[in-house]
Amino acid sequence: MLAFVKARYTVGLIGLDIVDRAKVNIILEKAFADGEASWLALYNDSCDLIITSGNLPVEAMDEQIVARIVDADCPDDGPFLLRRPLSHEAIVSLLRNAEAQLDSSAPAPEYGRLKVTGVTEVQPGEERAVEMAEAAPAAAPAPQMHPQFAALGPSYQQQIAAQQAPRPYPPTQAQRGVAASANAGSETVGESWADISIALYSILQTRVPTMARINLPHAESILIDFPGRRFQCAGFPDSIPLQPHQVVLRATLAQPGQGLPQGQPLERLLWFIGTRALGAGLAPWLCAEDRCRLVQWPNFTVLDHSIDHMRMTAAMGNGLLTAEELSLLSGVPFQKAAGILNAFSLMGLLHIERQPAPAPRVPAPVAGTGVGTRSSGSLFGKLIRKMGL
Amino acid sequence: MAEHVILFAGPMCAGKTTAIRSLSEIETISTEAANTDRETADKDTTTVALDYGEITIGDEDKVRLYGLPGQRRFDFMWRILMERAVGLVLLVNNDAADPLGQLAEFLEEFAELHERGGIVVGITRADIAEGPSLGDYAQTIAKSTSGAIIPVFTVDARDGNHMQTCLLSLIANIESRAALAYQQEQAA
Ligand SMILES: Nc1nc2c(ncn2[C@@H]2O[C@H](COP(=O)(O)OP(=O)(O)O)[C@@H](O)[C@H]2O)c(=O)[nH]1
Ligand SMILES: [Mg+2]
Repeated sequence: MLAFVKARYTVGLIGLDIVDRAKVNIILEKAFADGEASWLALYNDSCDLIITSGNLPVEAMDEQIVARIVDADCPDDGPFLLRRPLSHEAIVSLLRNAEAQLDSSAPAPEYGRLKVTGVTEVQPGEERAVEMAEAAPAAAPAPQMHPQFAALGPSYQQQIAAQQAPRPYPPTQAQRGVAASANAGSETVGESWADISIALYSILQTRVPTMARINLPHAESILIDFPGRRFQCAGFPDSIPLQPHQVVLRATLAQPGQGLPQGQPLERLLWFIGTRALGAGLAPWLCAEDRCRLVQWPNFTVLDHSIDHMRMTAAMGNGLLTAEELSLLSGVPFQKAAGILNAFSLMGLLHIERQPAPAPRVPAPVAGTGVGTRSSGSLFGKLIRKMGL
Repeated sequence: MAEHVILFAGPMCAGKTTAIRSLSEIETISTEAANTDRETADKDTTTVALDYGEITIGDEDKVRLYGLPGQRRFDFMWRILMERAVGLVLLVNNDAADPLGQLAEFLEEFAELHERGGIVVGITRADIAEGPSLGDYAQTIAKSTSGAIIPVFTVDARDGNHMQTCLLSLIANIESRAALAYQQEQAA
């Protein structure tokens, strides 16, 4: 069920067994539908509130709240403890406590023009799992993995495990709040590609097996199969508006056998969004001070690329650079340097060192000394002229 | 006239002869011989000596393209040319018996060149054979070169644009390294 109310905060369910998770989900959904609480439930650890099971070690950032589900006889106490059997009242009260703390510690995350309009749907089978557990409380330990994931095979299971692995670098609170909104079962409505790119970035980072559809007014839809790393879109890229007044991204968990049987490589779409659709500056999750280095070259033979792109890529492979340094070193406008960093970060090709950064690995570049910009000596420069590029 | 030697290496059937044909401005010289090494590849002819092609730029520069024989018994020629080479286009066919293993072997063989920043890897015949993913190849490269960032693309050796992309990114990488080294020198 989807309720079109704006969610204020996100709650992540981490490491819960299927029964606890199903119960929490059902209660959250009911509370959401009844207007008692507007929380978006996700299965990742980048949320404002993390609900986990009593003994599980969870690494949280200072501003995140960790709540634990413990057995009825646990001696501990506190505002963020939930005792089994879980009750509607206890969970709603936990959410109230968490809201109060989040409201007081920082302003609610500013989502810009991004509206989060969905809650995670209760997965088929979860309600039954609760019934079964309640009918036979002494049953064998519940499996850790959702049966739906278990059926997807080992690579999907690794993807689920990867969700709980540490992030490559910690996002800021606002970014985390926004990024968390994009996972399976949610709908994101934006007014520009920048809005929607956050959702895409989140899906790519968390690697939850996701299928997505992007709807644009007066244009072909884009269907994305993230696990298969393919997409379909008639007339791509000419059919895609660069400045749509609305972009809607709807994401669902990938079901077995649902992957696109054919399509174009996903990197082509991400390259297009990063270099062309995101506009003039850096993507919302990148900062001007971030130092970036390439971890793998993009597959240029399937991308619509220019000589400048190639030159910037070579520089990125050999130095740890900010967008500005990249632009100076390669002799290209800042906008173009930002575009390639946007694309590479979406494509997962960047290693990013976030401020406070160590001393620069590369001396401040002298403008125009990079590849192909030194007029006479460069074989690269000569070859591209020769090849008419 | 400045000469720039670019080598093409890779397993038999990787597309070395074809790639040089796609790039060369002159009629390429190939020394194919009937293939007696039937177990290695199902192909009638194979390069036993060298393929040769060239690109001339004005009256200043000549890029010489040499294809190295795929069979190890001709190793001595690799060494001679390697000393003169600025870069290497390493082609690996996706339908080879053990493409990742072959890639690692060739990288080891040409370690000197990658230390100079001078290797690009092209994965050929990906259109006809489902093999390892590009990410798998990149991982193999990182493992065999202690983390070097070597360009790796899927290519069709018959496609001139693909081969231009390989050649240009190879040169861009070499020059970018040199430019950064130069700047570091200036700063020191
Ligand atoms: N389908 C396909 N065929 C290719 C590709 N690259 C090369 N070939 C073909 O593979 C065969 C072997 O190429 P060749 O240049 O003789 O390989 P060499 O042994 O490395 O010199 C030739 O028939 C080429 O046309 C590719 O990417 N796709
Ligand atoms: Mg040959």
